[in-house]
Amino acid sequence: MIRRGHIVALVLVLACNLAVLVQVAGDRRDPSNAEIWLTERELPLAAREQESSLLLLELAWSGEGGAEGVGAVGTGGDEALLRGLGFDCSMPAEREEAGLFYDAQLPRAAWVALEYEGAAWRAWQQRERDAFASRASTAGAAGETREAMESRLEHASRLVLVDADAARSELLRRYPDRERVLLLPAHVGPSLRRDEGRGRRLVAVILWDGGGQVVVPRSLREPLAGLAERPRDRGGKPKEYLPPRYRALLVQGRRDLLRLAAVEPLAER
Amino acid sequence: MRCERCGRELPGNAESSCPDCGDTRTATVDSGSRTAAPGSAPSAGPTIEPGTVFASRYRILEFAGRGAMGEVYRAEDLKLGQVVALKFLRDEAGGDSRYLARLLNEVKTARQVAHPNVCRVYDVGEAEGRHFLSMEWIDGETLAAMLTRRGRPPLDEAVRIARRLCAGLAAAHDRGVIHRDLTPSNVMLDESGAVRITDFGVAELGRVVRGRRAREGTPAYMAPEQFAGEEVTARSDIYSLGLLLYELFTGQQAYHGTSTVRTAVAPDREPPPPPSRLAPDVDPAIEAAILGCLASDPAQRPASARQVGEALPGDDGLFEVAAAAQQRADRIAAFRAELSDLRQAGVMKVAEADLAAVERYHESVLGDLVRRFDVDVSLRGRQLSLGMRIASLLGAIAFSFAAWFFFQRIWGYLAVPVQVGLLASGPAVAVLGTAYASRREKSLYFTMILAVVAFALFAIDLSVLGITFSLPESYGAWLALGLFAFALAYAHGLHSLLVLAIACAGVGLGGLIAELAGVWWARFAMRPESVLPVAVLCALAPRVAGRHGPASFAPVYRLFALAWFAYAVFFLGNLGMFSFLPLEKQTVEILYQLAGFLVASAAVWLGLRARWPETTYAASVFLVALLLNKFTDWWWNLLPKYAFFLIVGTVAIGFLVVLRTLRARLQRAAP
Repeated sequence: MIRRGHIVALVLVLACNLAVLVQVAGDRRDPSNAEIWLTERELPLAAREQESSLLLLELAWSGEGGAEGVGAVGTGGDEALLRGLGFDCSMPAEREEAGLFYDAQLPRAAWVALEYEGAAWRAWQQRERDAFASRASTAGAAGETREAMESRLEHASRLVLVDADAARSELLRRYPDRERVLLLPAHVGPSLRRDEGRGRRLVAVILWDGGGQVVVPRSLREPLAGLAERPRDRGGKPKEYLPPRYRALLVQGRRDLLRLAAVEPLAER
Repeated sequence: MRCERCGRELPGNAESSCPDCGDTRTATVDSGSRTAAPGSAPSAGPTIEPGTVFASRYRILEFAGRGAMGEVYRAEDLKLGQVVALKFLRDEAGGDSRYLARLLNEVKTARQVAHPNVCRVYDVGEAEGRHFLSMEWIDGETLAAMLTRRGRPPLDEAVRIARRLCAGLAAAHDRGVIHRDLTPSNVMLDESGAVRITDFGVAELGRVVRGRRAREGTPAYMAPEQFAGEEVTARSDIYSLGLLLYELFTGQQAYHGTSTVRTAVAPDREPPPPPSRLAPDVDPAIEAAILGCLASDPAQRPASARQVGEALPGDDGLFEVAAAAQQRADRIAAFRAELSDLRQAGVMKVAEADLAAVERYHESVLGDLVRRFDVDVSLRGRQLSLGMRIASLLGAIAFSFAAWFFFQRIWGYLAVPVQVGLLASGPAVAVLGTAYASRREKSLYFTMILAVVAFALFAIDLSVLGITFSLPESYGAWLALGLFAFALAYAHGLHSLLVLAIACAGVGLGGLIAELAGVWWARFAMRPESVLPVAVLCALAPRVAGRHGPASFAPVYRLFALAWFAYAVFFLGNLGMFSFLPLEKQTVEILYQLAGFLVASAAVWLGLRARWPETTYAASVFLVALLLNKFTDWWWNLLPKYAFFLIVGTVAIGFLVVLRTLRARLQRAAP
């Protein structure tokens, strides 16, 4: 006996699936918003559930202090970026009540610009080298070795956060190159971070709306077969990395949804 | 004055014969009394004085009314200590074998049906030269009296009455009883809104009635085939039901103004005006159901009264009926236990024959309730039922995880179109499964399992679609999940689904409100005011949605209302800077603490007043937690710990004294 509740439930299932398909179809109309080739350095395989057959690539970008994804510095620094998004950054980070003060300012919707292998990437490398030199002069040989640092820089993501704005059009105007710059919807908020030797400071936290992960469709799985079982980070001290083993064409559709359009294996050096 | 038989308005107060149906019985005024017994109408004085003990068993309490067959009294059954209705044949009718047969027939047929929407008939007897039957006393009025007094009721009330009416008639038909005299005067409504079909005087056992008896009934409410003296079946009752529903929803008879009953029931007559013409708020579904019942050709009418009830908008009254059935079984169990105690204490002596008769009757009722509603008839049965509920819930959760992990295992190997197809068809198939299961089992254990699995599959559907297409997470998905769970909860009266529904819809709605206020929806919990409208909606829901679902949904809503509110109060009472309000942190905290105390106290009071125990308990816990929170704020760092707990203990004793005083007052006030 079909009741009204069943019909409502069935209509909901149908409507939700249709809505998603319509949205995806709208996203995949030509031309796309951006198409960018990235390697395993920028799109590593995401950690997989033991019994899951799903392959996901995870967007990685280089942040300050070697951090990937959190506390990345914009062109004018995190505080300037946060102020630009309307956050109140008047409370000094060292004050005791600063924690609750910034916690109470929740992340806001913003568009962030990630540049691939550009000036920001080179500047980021330089900052990392400078920071290493500074650490080495104060801590001596106790910290990371130069080889380890250089290896890290050689294998780090070349995507760097360069800007954020509440208006997508503003960012688009500032960064028109859609083969090197990704404009992604995200939520940006303030957070306090304590770094060794630098005390507590204010950083911007980026939270991706889409989770920052892209599914590898069945048709593109072949070049990635077996890679998940052989992580690129081979461990050791200093850490050893395999060179990137594939490159992938990341497409951002008309509605800014990310998808993979191609995956190609890279010859091992 | 109306003709007793066909309902036509008649002039004068004296006996007359109806020009329409030719009935020569006494025409009676339809009672508007609020206290009436089935089929009764007080219009003349009693022949038995109140206080008289009749048949050495019944103390007459009051005269309730006079009908065509005789008089009805409210009486106390001295043996069983229950109030009953006694229906006596008129003195002049006592010798009429037709009336006597009708009285006996009423007992015989009505006792076939045990249903909350059918008036219970207990027994028939003869004493002091008078034939009588004892039946359930209903403190209320007939539907006819209600329509005369108030006109047509509001739509939702009419739907509720109609559903119960359909349920009662369906129960009679299920037992092979054709009522044959379904009229507004034979439907009783009590003060609690319960609906009962009465007067089975001309009812028949069997699938078809032919011959001379076929034409018995009230012509104005007869199906054409019944009036013509042809074959009378359950579908003839469906026609009468259609006329009755027409009157209920429009406040007018379907053939109001027709010159004669004969014209009104003629097979080639014009259909009545659509109900929506007389009452514009009548839903098309209701109109279609009513007009379907009024088809001249019996084959064109709905096959069952249950089908008519199901065609009405809103969910059916199955939940209430099932709950009433369990209550009935519980009452019988309590009655048996108390009777046993009374007999053991020597307070009451009951003849073995009477006891056996009551026992047989109860066994028959319980058997019917078990068969129809799968009620628990013993404490052990109840305990096992609880175990079955827990097992089915655990099973449902386990199956949901199984579905998720199975999909995880295969989804990477499926092409996207196959994934989407599987994802969408999973919950749809499970929904259809719940519909199928609910038809096959009364206790809904498997229905609940399938409903929870359907919910889980829909959640997997939305989640996997989001991952597959890199869609941003959205409060809309939570709202959709909540709506889905509500739909299944109300379709089957499932509490587990209601809990899921309120939780998901709460998250979705909280997210939406946060988003509207400029906060990322996923962080709505960090702006606790986002959930305050959710709390208000939960508090109001029993008044709105509660009418369509089981009454036991209301406590769930109330508990959620308190829970959402308590969350906001505790959060903002301690961390005022997370408020939307443009006020100082301390001001916000004080404001919410005060609001917490006020609302919690009001909820305790309301719970006591409205007899909502769950609200009283939950609000009391809320109140105590608020107090402890404040005590900690004030004194934890100020006092030695022993002194702090000494204060807490002293306050608890103070509460104990206050509550004990209140309880003593209540007990003194109780009879």
